[in-house]
Formats: sequence, structure tokens, C-alpha cells
Amino acid sequence: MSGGRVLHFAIGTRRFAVPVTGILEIREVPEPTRVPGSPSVVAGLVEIRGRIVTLVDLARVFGVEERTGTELLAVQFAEPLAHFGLLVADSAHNVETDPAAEEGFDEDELPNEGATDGRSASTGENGGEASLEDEPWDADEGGRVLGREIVLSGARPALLLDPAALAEFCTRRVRARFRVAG
Amino acid sequence: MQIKLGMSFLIVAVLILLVNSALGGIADDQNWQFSALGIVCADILVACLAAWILSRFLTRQIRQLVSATSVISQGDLTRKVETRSNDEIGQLGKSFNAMLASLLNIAYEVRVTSDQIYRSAQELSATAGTMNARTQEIASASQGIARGAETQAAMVTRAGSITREIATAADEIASKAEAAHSTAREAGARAKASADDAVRAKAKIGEIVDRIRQATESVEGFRERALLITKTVDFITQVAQQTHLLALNADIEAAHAGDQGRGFGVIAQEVRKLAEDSRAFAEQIQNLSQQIDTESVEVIGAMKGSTAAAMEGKEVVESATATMNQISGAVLMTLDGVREITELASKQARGAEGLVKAIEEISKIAMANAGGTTEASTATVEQTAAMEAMSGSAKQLVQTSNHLKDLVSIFRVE
Repeated sequence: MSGGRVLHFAIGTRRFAVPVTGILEIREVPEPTRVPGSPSVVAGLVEIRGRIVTLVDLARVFGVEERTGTELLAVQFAEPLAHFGLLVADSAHNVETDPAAEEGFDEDELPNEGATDGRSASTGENGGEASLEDEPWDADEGGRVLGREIVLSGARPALLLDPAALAEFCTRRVRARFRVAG
Repeated sequence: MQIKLGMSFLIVAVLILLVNSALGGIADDQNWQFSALGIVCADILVACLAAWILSRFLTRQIRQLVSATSVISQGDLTRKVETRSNDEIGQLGKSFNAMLASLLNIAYEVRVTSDQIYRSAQELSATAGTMNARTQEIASASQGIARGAETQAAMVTRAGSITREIATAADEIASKAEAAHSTAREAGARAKASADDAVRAKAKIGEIVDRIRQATESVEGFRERALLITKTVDFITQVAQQTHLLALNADIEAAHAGDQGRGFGVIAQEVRKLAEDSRAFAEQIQNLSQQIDTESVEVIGAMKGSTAAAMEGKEVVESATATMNQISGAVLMTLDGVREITELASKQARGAEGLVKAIEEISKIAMANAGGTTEASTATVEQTAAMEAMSGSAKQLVQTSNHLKDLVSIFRVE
């Protein structure tokens, strides 16, 4: 695999990174259409090249500040998760690719074992799924960790996200919301 | 009388002789001594008797005279002494009667005259009283006149000093008016010069206003161009952003292509860097353009302020020009007025000097007048005293003449 390049961006004070191999495209999008009754982690739906893409609101997922940027960017995941994307509200110039993660970063590790996120330490199911609906991500949900800490060039810390885990997390939230059988 | 007296002594001697002879005869008969003594005693007796009879006879006319004079001494001058004899006593009686007639005449005259004196004295007393009163009136009047004359003299002296002050003041006024005249002339010239300057200043301000207006227009054009630059730079920024996104996507595509895309990925990164540089430069241009815009706005505001200030200045200068012209006109009028004042003040000073001289003469006259009046007053006072003395004398005269009348009334003349 060509490997370690990541695309990274900041939401509020926190920086997130996504492996470029997991990305189909980054582009400007209009304000997403909110789905009534959907959990707050779902920012809404946008149409990209004839496909409806569900945009995940990372600020909601990780409980950081609301988006403040004037430009709305969408990071569309690569197939087979191309119907999911991340909503990035920032200037496009703050979105960069970085090779720094190449070291200590292995594509194979993505189905994560040995999670380093401190918050993933808490284990066990929460009381009921309904109670999770609008709560920020707080635990290993379904045994998968959403991301792990890496260090980018310039000693910038970032949370390297796992697109598949995020997609699953989002799906579970939606299902819990609408009581759709798995 | 001498004859009568001689004859009487002769008769007495004869009688004594007779008695002696008669007694001598008796004495022979009797004692001699006794007869001698008897004879002597008889002689003495006869002599005494004869002397008594003789004296009675001799003094009868004198007694008549004495009784007549005693009546006359009571004042009755109408009585006369009866004289029948032609001797010395008779002659005395006649002389006495003549003296009485003469006295009667004098007493009558004295009486009439004293009556006249009394009446005259009374009239004189009355007149003297009236005159006294008049004189006192005159005295008080002349005293009043004297006081008035003194007051007049003082007033005239004061008037003199005041007039002298007026003369001095008029001189001062004249000199000051001359100074004011020259000052006013200078002020007029300066006002005119100022008015000319103000006209020039007005023209200059007009030029300034025009230039500021032109400059404002230039700056506004400048600002419009700056806004155009801003818009263009916005477009460049957008292009840079799109380029950046394209570069990112190219990078992603290169990653997807694997090893074959590695070179392409490098190019994509270079493109992204260029886009980043473009964005940075565009941002700088944007900042500069915005600064230019802001400064242009400030300059335009300042220029508008300057224009307004200059317009205000123009108005001020216009009103200043009008005021200066007014001042110039007023100063010219003042000049005429001041010239007149100077002439009048000079005339006044000369007149006041003449007035001072006249008043000095008046003062002398008034002082002399006051002195004369005082003397007159003193004289009047003396005259009043004299009149009072005269009045007293007249009264005394009345009393005296009355007394005289009383005295004269003792004499019976009718």
C-alpha cells in the first residue's frame, strides 16, 4: 500500500486526520439538508455527483465546539463507504495532506487493536441505546474504536479516524433512533 | 430918706433934751444921784421908743416891697409894688415894677418858646424813632447785601477756578483729539489694507477649495479602483482555494493510484503549495487594498472637512472684508468728527481763557464790591448807633423841654 498519507483538518481546537486511501474526494458542499428526527451526530444529507451522502458532524461526535468556518467542505469516504462523509467547516486552505504519519502508521492496524484513545478505556454497554442517541461518542461501541492519536509534522497531535468505524457508529445511532432492526 | 433919717435923729435929740430938762427939775428936789440915773434911763427909754417908731415909719415901704417880692417869688409876676413916695424906697419900688414887667415879658416868651420846644422835641423824638427804625432796616438790608456780595465774590472765585479747569480740560481734549485723529487715520489705512488682504485671502481660499475638490475626486477614483482590486483579489482567492481543493483531490487520486501515482502526488503537492502562495499573496494584496480603501475614506473625509472649513473660512473672510470696509467707512467718518472736535476744543480752550480773564476781572470787581458793601454796612451800623443816640437825645430833649415847661409854668403871666 502506498500507505501513510493522511488528510487532516481542525474542528475547533481539535485536529482530525483521515487516511487518504479512505477518501474519495474533498469538495465544497451546500448546507446539508437535515433529516427530521435524525440523531444529532448526523449533520444532514447532501447530493454529490448524483449520490446522496450522509454527513457526520464530528463536532457532535466528539463533543467539541460547534463549527465556525464560513466554508462548508465535505470529505467523502472511498468506496464502499462512499455514501458517508465528514462535514468540515473551515477554510479549504486549512485542509492539508501530511506524510508524517507514515511512520508508526499501518493501514492494517486500522481495524484497531490496542486503542490509544484514553476514553476508549471505558467498557461495557450503556444502559440503553436510546440514551446514547444524542450523546457524544464516549466508548467503544460495538467493539470498534473510532480513531487513535497520532503526531503529524510540526509535532501537531491529531486523532486519526477510522472511516469504517465512524460509518458503523453513525449507522448504529440512526438505527437506534429509528428502531430499525439491524 | 437921708432927710427923713436926719430929721428923725433931730426929733429924738429934741425929745431927749426935753425929757432931760423935765427930769432935771425933778432931780433937784430929790437926790442927785438918783436924778441922774433916772434921767439916763428916761433918755434911753425915749430913745428906744423913738427908734421903734422911726423904724416902723421907715420900713413900712420896705415891708410892702418884701410882701410883693414874696408873692413874685411864688411865680406870680402879675403883681405890682405900690409906690407913692418919691424917695429911694419909692424908686426901688418903681425899678422893681419895671424889672417885673421885663421878667413877665421874658417869662411869657420863655413859656411860649418852651411849649414850642416841647412840641418840636416831641416831633423830633417821633421822627428820630422812625428814622432809627428805617436806619436799622437799612443796616440789616446792607448787612444782607454785604453777605450777598461776599458770597458773590466767593462764587465768582469758584467760577474762575472751574473755568480755568475747563480751559485746561479743553486744551487736553484738543491735544487728545489730535492724537485720536492721527490714530484714526492710521486705523483707517490699516483697515483698508486688511480689506485688500482679505480679498486676496478670499481668492486664495477659493483656489484651495477648488484644489481640494479636484484632489477629492482623484482620491475617490483611486478608491473605486481599490475596490475593483479588492473584488479581483477576492476572485483570485477563490481560484486559489479551488486550486487548493483540486490539488488535495489530486493528491488523494495519486494515493489511490499507488506507486504509479507517486510522481503525480508530488506535482499535486507543488500545485497545492502554489495555490497556498497565491492565497497568501492575494491576502496581502487584499490587506493593502483594504488599507488603501480605509485611508482613501479617511482622506476623503478629511478633504470634505477641509473643504467645509475652507468654505467657512471663505465666509469668515467675506464677512471680515465687509466688516473691514465698514470699519474703513466708519473711520473716515470718525476722522471728520475728530477734526471737528479738535477745532471745537481749540475754540473752547481759547474761549475758556478769555472767560477766565473776564471772570478774574469780575472777581476783582466783586471783591471790591464786597469790601465796599462791608464798609457801607459798617457805616450803616455806625449810623444806626448814631441814630439811636440821636433818638435818645431827642427823647431826653422831650423830657428836658417838658421839665422846662413845668418850670416855666410856675410863672403866672396872665
